[in-house]
Amino acid sequence: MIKDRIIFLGPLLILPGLLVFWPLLEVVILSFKTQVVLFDLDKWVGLSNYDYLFKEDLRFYAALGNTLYFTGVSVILEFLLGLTFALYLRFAGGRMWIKIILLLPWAIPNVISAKLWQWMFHSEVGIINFILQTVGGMDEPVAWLSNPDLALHSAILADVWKTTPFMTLLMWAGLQRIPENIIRAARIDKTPPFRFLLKILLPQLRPVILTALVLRFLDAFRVFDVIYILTGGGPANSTETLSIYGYKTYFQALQFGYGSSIVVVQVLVMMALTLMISQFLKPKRLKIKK
Amino acid sequence: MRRVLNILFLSGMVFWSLGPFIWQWITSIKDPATVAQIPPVWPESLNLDNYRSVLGNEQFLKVIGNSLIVSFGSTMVSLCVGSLAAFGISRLMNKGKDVLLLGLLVVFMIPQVAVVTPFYKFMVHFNLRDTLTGLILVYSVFTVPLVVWIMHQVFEEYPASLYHAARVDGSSHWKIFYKIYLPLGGSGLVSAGLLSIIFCWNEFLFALTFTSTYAARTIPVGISLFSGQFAFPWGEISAASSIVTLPILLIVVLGQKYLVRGLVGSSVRG
Repeated sequence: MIKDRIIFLGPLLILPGLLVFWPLLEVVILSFKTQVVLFDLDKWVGLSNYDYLFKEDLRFYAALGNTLYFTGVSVILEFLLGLTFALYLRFAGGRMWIKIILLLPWAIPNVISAKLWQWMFHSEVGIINFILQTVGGMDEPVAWLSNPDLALHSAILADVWKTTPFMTLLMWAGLQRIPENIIRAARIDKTPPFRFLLKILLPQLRPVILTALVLRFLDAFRVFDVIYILTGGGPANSTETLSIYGYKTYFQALQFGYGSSIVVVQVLVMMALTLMISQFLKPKRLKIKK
Repeated sequence: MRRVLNILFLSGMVFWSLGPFIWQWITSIKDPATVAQIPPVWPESLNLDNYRSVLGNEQFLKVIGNSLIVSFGSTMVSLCVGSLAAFGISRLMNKGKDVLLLGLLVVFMIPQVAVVTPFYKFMVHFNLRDTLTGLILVYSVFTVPLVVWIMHQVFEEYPASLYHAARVDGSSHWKIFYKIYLPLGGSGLVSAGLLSIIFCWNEFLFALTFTSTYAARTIPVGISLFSGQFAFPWGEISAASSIVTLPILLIVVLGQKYLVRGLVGSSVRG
């Protein structure tokens, strides 16, 4: 029995076990140090990284704000759009080819979708500005990616396009699992559609919504690829998220110590928010274990 | 009226989802000289110059090869480790099952930035920087949990009596796993494998950090480094993107059933 456990579960201890816990430990230790490999600098500084981070680092607060804004807006939009698509698939007939088409943006590499959106957002020769100017009657081309007020929103749009399929899929699966007789009963009662959605479908979907929102929240909170490609964090750091700030502190400023403090705080904030979301969306009634 | 609304909604959905792809394909078959023209010109004939120049680019072919090796390599590793572990969790563990599964989910959802520096040091220390082996190892850290989640779900669905009957007959755990569970779990393995391939094919941050030459650069890094001699080569980027999206397109079209099952099974039921 012991031998079998080692055969079956042993590999997990190394991959991913050791390969994750040891790095996490190292990051936490690093966050109490000033380490600049380039200058052979490696000394213990206690809490002073955190002190600076919380008290003086305005760039950190800006990055935190951007991350929260990006996460909040894109997850909510994805949820609404995904739910709408899923309702269509469930009640207006979802043939296979529609599902394939809807799934496509999710499957392609982030870098490719970011490049694609960068091309469409191009202020002079981009298709979006062209459409807005010819059909939408706008006079001036919009500087989607170089205007600090717009850049983050452009990144959100690109992210929503890329990840809505995931929401659609989970919501659709959730809708499929609602017992047919509940839906039929509502039909017979001639429940108005909006009430049907609000009072019957959404409560039934609650657990799925919780899972989907938490998974998407975790993924959006660590956003890197899309923004790194689209704007690189600019203009004027207006799209810099925590992941980008941490990455730049690591690999551009080469501050391994301070960079670690940033990512430690990022992970802690992420954990706290995950707990809050799950508490908020937890089923009100007692959970019945299956 | 209903029908009109239905068609409108349907076309809206298709346009939203497919529009950017169509624009990419149109850009990729334009004459390179007209790619950045405003107002955009409709390609008069199929011009394959962009594709020709991309496919004649050795670096581009190299990153495709690298991505293939890394994706299949770490998928193989994680299917082996992951299905073993899934069997172990589902049949050999009593206490701590949920904690272990949750821990694996945490690993999968950890921000890459949080572990990138220790990984980087690890790579430097073991001379794995800029190697495909290094990337395979790092990606497996994230794809193993994925495989465990999916295969655990699959194995849990088998009746326990199947396992007990085999035990009573004197089969070893290894034999039960190898002769019964694994063959029955074929479609689960396909789901897990496809999701893992997609993950590795798409991963950017680690590939960017741990590679410095074309010895190990993967597709996303290659595409992000695309730059032209004079103007930005949007036509070539579109062609390159279309080429590397093709395998993904095939996976989605042919393996849609498995992808959906893998994604949904592990997140909705769990």
